Amino acid sequence: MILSHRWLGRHLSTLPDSDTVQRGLEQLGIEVAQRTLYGQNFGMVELVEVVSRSPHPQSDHLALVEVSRGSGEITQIVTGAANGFPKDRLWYAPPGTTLPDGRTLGVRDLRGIASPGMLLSSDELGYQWLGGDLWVWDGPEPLGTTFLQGIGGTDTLYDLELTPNIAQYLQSVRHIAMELGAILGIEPIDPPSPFPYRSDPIAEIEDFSRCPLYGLVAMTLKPGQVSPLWMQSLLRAVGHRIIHPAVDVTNFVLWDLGEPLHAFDARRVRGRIRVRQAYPGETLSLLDGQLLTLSVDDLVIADADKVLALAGVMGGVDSGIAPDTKEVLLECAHFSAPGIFASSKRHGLATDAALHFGRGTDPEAVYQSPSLVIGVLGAAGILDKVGPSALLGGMPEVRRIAFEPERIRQILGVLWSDEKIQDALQHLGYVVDHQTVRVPLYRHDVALIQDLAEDVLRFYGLENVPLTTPKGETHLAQRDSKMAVGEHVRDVVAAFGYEEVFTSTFSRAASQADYLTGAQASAVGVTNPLRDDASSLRQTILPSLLDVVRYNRARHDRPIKIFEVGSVFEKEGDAVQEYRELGVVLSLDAAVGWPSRVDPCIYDLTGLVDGLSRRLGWPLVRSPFADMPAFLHPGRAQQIRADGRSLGYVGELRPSLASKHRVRQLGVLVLRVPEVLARLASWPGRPSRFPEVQRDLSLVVPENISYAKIVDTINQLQVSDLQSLSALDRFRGDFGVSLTVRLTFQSPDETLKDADVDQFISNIIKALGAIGVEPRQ
Amino acid sequence: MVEPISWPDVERLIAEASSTEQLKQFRVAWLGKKGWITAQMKELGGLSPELRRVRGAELNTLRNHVATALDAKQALLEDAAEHEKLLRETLDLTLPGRTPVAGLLHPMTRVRRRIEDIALRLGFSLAYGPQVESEWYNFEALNIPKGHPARDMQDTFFVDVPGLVLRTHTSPVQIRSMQDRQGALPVKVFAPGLVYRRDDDATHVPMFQQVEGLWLDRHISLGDLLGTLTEWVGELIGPEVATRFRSSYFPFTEPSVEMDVGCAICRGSGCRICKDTGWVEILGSGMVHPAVLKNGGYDPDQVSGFAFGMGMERVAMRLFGLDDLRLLYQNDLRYLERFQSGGDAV
Ligand SMILES: [Zn+2]
Repeated sequence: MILSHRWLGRHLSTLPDSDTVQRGLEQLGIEVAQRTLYGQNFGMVELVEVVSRSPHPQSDHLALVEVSRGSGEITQIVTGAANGFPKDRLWYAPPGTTLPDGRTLGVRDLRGIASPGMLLSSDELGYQWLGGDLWVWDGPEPLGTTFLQGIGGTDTLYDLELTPNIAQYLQSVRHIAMELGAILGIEPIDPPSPFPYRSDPIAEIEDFSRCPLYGLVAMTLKPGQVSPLWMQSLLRAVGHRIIHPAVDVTNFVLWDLGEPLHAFDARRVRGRIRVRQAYPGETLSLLDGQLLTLSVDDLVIADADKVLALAGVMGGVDSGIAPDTKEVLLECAHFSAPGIFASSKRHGLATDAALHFGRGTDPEAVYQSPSLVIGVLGAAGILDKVGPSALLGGMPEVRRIAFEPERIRQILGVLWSDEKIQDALQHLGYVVDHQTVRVPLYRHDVALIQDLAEDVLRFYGLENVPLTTPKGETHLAQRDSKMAVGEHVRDVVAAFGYEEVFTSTFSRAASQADYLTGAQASAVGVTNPLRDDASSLRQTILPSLLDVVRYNRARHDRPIKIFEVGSVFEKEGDAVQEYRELGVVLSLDAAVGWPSRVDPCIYDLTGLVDGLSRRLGWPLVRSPFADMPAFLHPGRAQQIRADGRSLGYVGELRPSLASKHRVRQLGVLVLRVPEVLARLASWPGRPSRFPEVQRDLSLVVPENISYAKIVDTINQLQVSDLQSLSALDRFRGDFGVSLTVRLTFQSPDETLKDADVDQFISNIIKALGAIGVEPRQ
Repeated sequence: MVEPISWPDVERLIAEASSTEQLKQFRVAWLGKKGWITAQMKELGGLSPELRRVRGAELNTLRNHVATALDAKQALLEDAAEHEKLLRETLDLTLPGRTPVAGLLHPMTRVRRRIEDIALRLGFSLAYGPQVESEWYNFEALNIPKGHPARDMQDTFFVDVPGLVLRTHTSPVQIRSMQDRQGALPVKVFAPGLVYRRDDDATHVPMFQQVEGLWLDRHISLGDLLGTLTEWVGELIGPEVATRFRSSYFPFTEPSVEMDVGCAICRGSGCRICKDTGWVEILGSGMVHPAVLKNGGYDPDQVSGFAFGMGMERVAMRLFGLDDLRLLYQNDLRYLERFQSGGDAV
């Protein structure tokens, strides 16, 4: 809502400066998004008097007009206007003036004669005036007076952002002025007196629940009039076009009292006005040209045989005000807000009327509006006479809330006296009598003691509430273990050298399907996605990470070493399950740079699984896939299992898929973060104080024997003094695969003798021989 | 035949020696089995006891001096030789070092943890709710019935399971936490998490992170809210930060209050970031609405409390001096690697 500073002055006995107004608005909870000035561009437009007028030598349509300016200077301007004769006083815009339509004037050459700036019509200034093409001013102001002075100077405009509760009653200059006056201590000017409605048979209501109060006043206007200049300026300032006095005055009341009026051309109305539900399939042609098909849920204003308007939202084109309208039927209604809100939403019509009625209006305005209209039009000499009128329905019941100042003190945490609290409420329009508070009829947002507390707070200001902290004891809290696991995973994987990324949980369903393993539930679809590629929630994290790979590789050639712990979703019947997955992606590019580093390979990721398993105390096991998913390299991938369940996989992406993400070889690891898996603590025991003995063993290994098999075979011997077994070296020669392992022996009780260790080694060699593994000579 | 020597000669000769080879020759010539001092020692037997004692003492002193001087010079020459050798091994240490390969947590993870750590210290336990939430928890329970204007303000993503939406805020966790506590007091939880809105422009992303605080007990007041938030924001951003409160509106709180902090860019004088106000909104809050308390199973006549919520990206922007939150989620690794240190903050 745009609030005009000058307009506030119509309702306040003294008008404070604009900084004070802005601070007051903010204290009331009304955000001022921006402050601008209206009328600045009128500061160059000046009043001049025509000295002479002569025909343009080259054109029958143009005239040369000499004007005398406030400075005494004579300026010649070329004009195409039919009026503007000696002694006429006109508005002149010299070069450099910017007009309301955005044009900035210069010196133009019109058929060989230079014309600096323009003589203006009222339309070019955004106003309406009587008379010919050019605006002939009949005021007493001296020459040189600017148009800005003519309209009373600039006006400060406040661009207000009204929260929904405030929009329920404060879309009205009068109500804003009253609240401002209350907190700034300024007396408001009395509202218009109630209009004495008659009881003429000109209207009837069929649905009082949707329209509890309805006033209709017939008026006759004098023909060919325009709205008074002061009202045109206010309406222009807040962004309205000037149309016709009957329309302009309804726009004025809309913002002045917050009451949307509707003016019908009485010539177009047959019989009585009827406020009723629409009939199914009934149609209405709107002012903006579209044809509306109505439903029984819509409330309409109709006459004896047709719909005239969608009640509280928009009028029909047939009964609207025309330039020659003289007989007007003025509707001053109070509609029930939810019905109007629903109609406006249903038809997608967010008109000013709907934005007021749909949130709630002041029923008092039904009485005040006709008086205001009659006052404005009468004073301007536009009103001819007031005809029949009718008022149907009655005022809504007044709401009451128990007056409990102690509750209000408790809610706010203040020690303000009963009187102080009562004073605030009364200033804001409440009536406190004995133990109850009567809520003003326009306060549709107030129902509870908390609402009263809020108003008391707005009245005195938040800065007057002492800062305290709750009295209860405070104890340190902790993360619960279920969520702490995810944090622990992040820390460990980051410590292992991976960078964390944060990807979207939205995905394209089709691309997900390629990366699922085993039997899967279906994906959760998003029914109103912003984009096609965000039409479902991801079921696995890998595609998101692949997108990150592609995004980065498209921009720079760099190794990728990333991870994320994020949510994935599955549909299970009528429920949605949310899980957390760890995803890790490593590009297997040769390491470049100086000093040299080791090339990354898939063993970095299998090792990461083992490292995670050890550091997190998870009994993770890597094992062959029973049924290898197609997106993985069939010779370089394993499942990750724990407690007999599959939790994920580690391996190389199939190279053809990797190349789509601009990388030749890509290691991937996906692990569903288990919430219930028992985490084992390390059990380090005491270190032995006897020396350890190392023996390296070089073996020739047949192709079909895995490293795991060799380890198993040695472990089965249960050599208790064998402390560790590690691979030292592995290569392929013409004799087959050579593997060197290092065995470390240590006894907790004694220094091992060479003979003992020799015996262990010969047992090991014998056992390995049984599976075809021989020492290399 | 060995020349007789005197101490000044010895000193001069050792000082002039330039190789360990020379020193070795001197040692043989003077101290060796056939050296001059050894030879002199052998001749002591022919002297009278008195003279033998005096001459013997002289020779001993000389021998010790010579040996010490030779050793010292020897050490000096060896040291110089080693130094020469080491200089030939010089490396260019201005070349890049091999930086340890350590990973990096995402800036939003670090910011979230900072926020959580403060919450834990102030005694809030952490709570999490589902991201796919029922309309009841997301709206109705929070006093946002169908047709409520606030339901329009938060453009909602719907999923293909009836009655479920992607939560538009972390506030449903308020209701879930109250229900979990089953009427016990105090209720003191802090709920960080992802939320979703159908918005995608310069200042909005459709998926972002919020955090919600809730504190219920008997006789909690708005003054308690303002005091707690002032302390909280001081911990989060720094005790010197300027703060102010403004009246606001949320359907699930009454009264409602927004909190601003002084603009970090212009320090209050006004700039583009703060729209020339000198203030930047940091969080929304208020006293929990009675309808919300009832929906969580608490009696609004007995229990009161406050709730507050804020966008974590806004905190990240503040702590790292960012002006575009979309970059945080673009996952450009070169950009993320710039978040190496968050100073004292994260
Ligand atoms: Zn600023």
